[in-house]
Order: sequence, then C-alpha cells, then structure tokens
Amino acid sequence: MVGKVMMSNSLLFRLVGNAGLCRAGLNASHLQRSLAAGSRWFSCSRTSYAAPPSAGGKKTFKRDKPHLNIGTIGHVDHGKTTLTAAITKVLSEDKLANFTAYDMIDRAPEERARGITINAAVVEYQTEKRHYGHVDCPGHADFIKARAMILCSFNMITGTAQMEGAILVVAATDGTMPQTREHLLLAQQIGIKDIVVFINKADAADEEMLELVEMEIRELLAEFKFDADNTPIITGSALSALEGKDDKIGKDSIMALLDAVDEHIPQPARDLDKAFCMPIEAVYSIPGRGTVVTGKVETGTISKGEDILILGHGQNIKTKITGLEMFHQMLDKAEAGDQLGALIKGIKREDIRRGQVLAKPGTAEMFNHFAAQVYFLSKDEGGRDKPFTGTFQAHMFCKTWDCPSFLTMPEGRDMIMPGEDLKINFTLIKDMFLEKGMRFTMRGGTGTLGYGVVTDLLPKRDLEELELTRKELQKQRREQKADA
Amino acid sequence: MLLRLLVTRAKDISGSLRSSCNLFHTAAIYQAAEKSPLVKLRKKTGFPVGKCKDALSKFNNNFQEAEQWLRKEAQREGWAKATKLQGRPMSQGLVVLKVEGNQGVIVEVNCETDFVAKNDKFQGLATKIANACLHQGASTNDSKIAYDKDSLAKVAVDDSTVADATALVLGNIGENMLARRAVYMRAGERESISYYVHAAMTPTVDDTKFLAGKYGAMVLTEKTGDPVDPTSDLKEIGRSLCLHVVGMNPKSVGSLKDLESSDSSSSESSSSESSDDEEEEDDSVMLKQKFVMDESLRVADVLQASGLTLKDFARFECGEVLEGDNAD
Repeated sequence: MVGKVMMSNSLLFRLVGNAGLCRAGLNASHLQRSLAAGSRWFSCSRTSYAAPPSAGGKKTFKRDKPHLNIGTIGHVDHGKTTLTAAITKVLSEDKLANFTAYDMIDRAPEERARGITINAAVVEYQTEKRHYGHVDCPGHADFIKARAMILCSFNMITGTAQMEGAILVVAATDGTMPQTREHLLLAQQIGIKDIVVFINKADAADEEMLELVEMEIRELLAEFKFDADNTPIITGSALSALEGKDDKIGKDSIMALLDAVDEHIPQPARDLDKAFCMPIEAVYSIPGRGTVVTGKVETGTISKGEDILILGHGQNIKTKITGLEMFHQMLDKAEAGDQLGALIKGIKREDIRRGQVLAKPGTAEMFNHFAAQVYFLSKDEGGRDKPFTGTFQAHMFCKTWDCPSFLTMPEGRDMIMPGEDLKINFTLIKDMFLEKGMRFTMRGGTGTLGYGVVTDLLPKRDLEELELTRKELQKQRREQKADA
Repeated sequence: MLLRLLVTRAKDISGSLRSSCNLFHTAAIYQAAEKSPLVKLRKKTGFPVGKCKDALSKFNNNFQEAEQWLRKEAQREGWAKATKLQGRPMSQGLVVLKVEGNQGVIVEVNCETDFVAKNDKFQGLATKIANACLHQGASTNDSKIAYDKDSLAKVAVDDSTVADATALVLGNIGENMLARRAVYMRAGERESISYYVHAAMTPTVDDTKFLAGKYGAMVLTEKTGDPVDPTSDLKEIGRSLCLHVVGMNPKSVGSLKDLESSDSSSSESSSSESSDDEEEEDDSVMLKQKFVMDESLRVADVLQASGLTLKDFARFECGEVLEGDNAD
C-alpha cells in the first residue's frame, strides 16, 4: 500500500519527465514542430539541459532569430538556382550562411521525407533580422506535395506548409514568360500573400528593358490580386554577385533583395501568441490527486486556475486546470513547446482520452466535415496500386488522434489515381478538433495512402444520412448485378 | 528616361491613392508607356524583351520592319533554342484526346514542368497536333495508326510540320518540348470509340471536343448483341470501360476463347501451379481483370451484359516509361 502511494506520487513527474527526455532525441517530427513554433526549440533546450551536445560534430541550430520559410518561383532558365547560390555567397561573407555552390543546390534533387520523394532544393541562411528556410521546387505538384509533408535538408527540417512568402525571379532579357501566370497561380493557391520580385540578368539588359520588364511584372501581379504597387522589385544580377563582379548590380542587389524580403514579408504570429491548445497524449488517474492529462503545448500559454475546454471524440467538456507540472516541478504558467502534465478538476480518467485537446474556451471547435488538399502516394512511394472509386474509407491520423473517415469523390470525378493531388471532402465518423492548416496522414489496409492539409472547415454532416446514401448505392449495385 | 519618369510619377500618385486605384494605376503606366516602340513590339509579339530590343536597334526603331524580322526569325530561333535545350529531361506534359464521329486520336506532348503543361500556349500546341493527326488519319484507309516521336514530327500542321510547330512554341516558352506519341483510330461498321481523359483540365482552347489531362484512353467496341438491360446507357458503359483502362492499366485485350478455356480448366480444378500462372496473367489481360467500378465483376462480364465485344484500346499516361526509352 505504501509502495503504491509512493509510486503514484512520483508517477506524474516520471511521466512528464520521461516524455521530456524523449524530446532530446532527434526525432524528426519534434524538430519540425520545434522549428515551426517560434521559441519552442529554445524552451526545450532550456528546460532539459543547458548546453545540448552537438550530435556527430554537427553545428547546433541556434534559435535566436525568428524563422521564416520562403520559396523561389520562376522559369527554369531565369536563374533561380544562381540566385540561391548568390544569396548564400553574399551572406557567407558575414558568416550568416554557408556558401552553397550552384551545382550543390542543383544536385539536391530528391529529398526523402518519410519515404516519399519530393523534388526540392532547400538551403538555410540568416539575415541580421531573421533565419530563413529557402525552398525551391521544380513543379507545381512538388510544391503541393511539400506542403503536405516535411522537407529535410542539411541540418534543418522545415515545414513548408507555412511557406510565408516567395521570391519571383524574372530574367530581364526575356521578361515575364507565358507560364509566369501559372507560377503566380500556384503562389495564390498555397496561400502566399507577399511576393518580392528579383529581376535577374541586369548585366545583359539596359534601362529601357528593365523598365519594361518591371511594368510587365506589376501588371501581372495586379491581375493575380497581389499588391502590385507595393511589391518590391529589385534589379540585379545573381551571376555578378556569385562571381564577385560589379557590386552595384551584384552583391548590393542581393543585399537589397534580402532587405526587401525582411521588410515586406511579415512575420506570422508566433505560436506563443496564439490561443492555448494542447493535444492530449495520455490520461492518468493519480490517487489522492485526480486526473492528469499529458501532452505537448502546441500554442499559447496557460495558467493554473484557468477555465479550459476538453474537445474531441464527439465530447465537449468544460472544466478548470487545478495544477501544472513539468520536469518534476510545479508550474504556475506553461507555454508553447512545454511538455506538460495538467491536473484537471472534477473529471474521471474514463471520461476523457488520448486524441482530445485541451483548449482555451471559445477558440477551438469540433467538426466532422472538412475539405483538404491531399496527395495520394503513387505505387512506387508505397501507396495503393489501384485507383480509388466511389465513396471510400481511410483512417485519418492527426496530432494525437485518429479516426475513420469517408472521402467523397469530388463532383465530376469518377476516380482518383495514386500519385495525384487534389482537393477533396472528408467526413469523420466522430466530431474531432480541427483547424485550418492542420496536416494529417491517411492510412488504409495496406499502409499509408497519402497526406493532406485541412483547407476548409465545413458545416456538420449528418452521418445517418451518409450511411443511408452509402447503403442505397450498395443496394443499387447489388440489383444491377442481379440483373446482369 | 522619359519612361522612367513616367513610372516614378505613376508610383508617386498611386502611393497616395494606393489600394483604391490598384488597377487604374497599372493601366495608367501602361498607357503612358504604350508609346515606346519596345513596349509595343513586346506586347504585340510576345518575343523575349532582349530580342525585341535587338530587332528595333537593327532597323533603327522601324516598328514594321522589326516586327516582320522577328516573326521571320521566330522559327529559326525556336530551332536554335530546341537544339540548345535538347537532352533536358521532360517528365511533364499533357495527354490530349479528340474524338469526332467515328474517328479518334490521342496524343502525348511533353515539357519540363507542370506549370507549362497548364499554360494555354502549350495546350494550344497539343490540340493543334491532335487535329493534325486526326486530319492525316482521315486521309488514309488505315483503321489504326500509331505514331512514335519520329513519325509524329513529320505530320503536317498548317503549312509546316509538327516538329516546326513544336519548335515555335518551345522558342516562346523556353522549355524543352516533344510531341512524343499518338494513336489514331477509326471505328468500322457497328463499332464505336469511347473515350475518357482522367482529371481533364478546363480547356483553354476554344474547342469542346478536346480533352486534356495526365491520363487518357480510347476503347474500340463492336456491338455484337443486345444488352441484357435494354435501358442501359451504352455510351456510359463505354466511358466506364475507358475509366477501367486508365485505372487498371491492362496490357492486352485477351480473347474470349482464352477466357472460356481458363474458366473450364479452373472448374476442373487444375493443378495449383498453372492457376498461379493464370493469376499473374490476369493482371494485364483486360477481359480477365476485375472491373474498376465494381470489383465483383470481370470486364468480360460487363461486356457480355452490354452486348459488346472489345476490339482494341489505347492508353496514354503522361511521362510513363516506355519500352525502348533507355535507348535514348
């Protein structure tokens, strides 16, 4: 009896403490989350150990500047790769980047993220103000794939889901290309609002040409509803910068471009500043203390005594936080990135479960119907070898929850081929906590079917009605067969 | 210099009025600059800014002569660009399909990025090639013509060839391009062609008979009996057969005789070894495949119930690896 009490007293600490230690391991999903999350990395290293040992002599990633992901878009021959190389060259002079030569970038073609190949080149660098993940994908589909997944490169892992801005590269010698329209369309589609333009190859053009190209670009930006007048357009030559010639259109133009990116592309809200949310990883009952839920705080902050909502699996419970603990210590306040144990008032262990979330009341909602941009893995990537038809089922995994879901074939479609990306509607069999921009995995009998990003939250769908339509369809089919 | 002044002026004005006159502003600079021959030439011809500049300086800013020269140069430029970009890999592109009456054609045209595949200039080229094949096919007595990249290049388009037309668009878009293959089919008496393009994009070309996407299929069937259900929509059945071809990727039609013999042999419970062999075969022989829209039926059953006989099919998947590709 004594033993049991002792054990249970330390249980909460141990659970939380262990979970924290696990985080020291270089787990990909953690890294990705830490990077996406403002100051998470910092809070992790601060609380687990003062100075993280560098693994295998690799440089330790320091999180002292806000992070932002940007991408380059433009025609294949307009010098996107040269520009990327030039940026790292110019910044390496101030030790803000490692110089990555042209052929090194161009050669980094197929990144493997969770066994899936994405054609992408990724470099990292920093300016005085920010740290950047710079992604370049050759095709539209690659950007969509990358958005639903995670890219790993060099020492960094970055979630391109939050690509916050783009550099459009246009060569002054050619001007905008017919396909520049499709490039801007993509930027629009993946939610990029701010663009900075680099007119490249200024060394091979004169004033009149540069002015014409600038005009063309502004006209096109306006057509695609970007802020054409205030979009910075920088003129220069990435090649000159790379070769260290003609500083005015070389090095200086690169610095001007980076300044424009620093200024024009706003920093998205830090996770710390968002509303409190913590997906529940586990629920424990600790005798003498009550029910404790553990998990990692994704966004916001929480204090002892605050009202809280437990959402998910069709439940919506309002209660209070009566205690917060982390790493063997009591806390008054916890914040994004913390691995937390929270003591919940008046709720039994059996009443709540993994997969629900703790959220600030009024900031989170449950849905059973939503639209998502998804990518179905091709057969070579471990996906299905047969097409999907009709209304089909997939098991959806998101944060700490999983739930069966029905996918409805988009209107005018009869079939989806593995390897395709498209927007599709999901119906979950239970109400779950959902937010725009959440990423998830779909699994089927044979393995992973694909990945997706939630794009729209839709009005609740009546499951009985869905079931009836499905049964009706099955019946029709059976009758047809009997006829045949 | 005047131009620059105008641009800065327009910028100043718009700065103060900003969002309310976004469109007005761009239109304003554009009108102002319309006077510049370079702007006019570029807008009118769409040729690279540098080329327009060259043309103007060559003819002392004579607009007409510069334009004529540019248009004359375009074909040569296209070929020069094509030679330069030769060998750059192309994994993207379009499958374009057109069926008109008893004739149909399916064409694959490749490019480097899917951005270009979505562009209307590229789609225009693909449909032009499809039209040319349809036209050429109609002038022969053959009921089926299969083109590879070499024979396709020689097909006449307007007063030049597919190769010339491709080079012209290539010069404008600046990506490597290739008309890779095509199949022309003509249906005989009692026969009909069904077609399907998977995830067909909204056509930018003003012709509703064209379909463009990443996968396409045509199926040739012959009416050899009456459907079990007289109300069944044969057109819809034909379309779902094409859907099946795209989805299940059969390699051959197979014959009903084989089907019957394998049916009887399996009912006689033949040795397990031979049934294994058959199963492997089942994967690629269309008649034996499970029907994509209803797994409980075989394609042969669907055909039988509809009173149809499967004669032939063609399936294109954009960018798929073909036999003999390694030789390139």
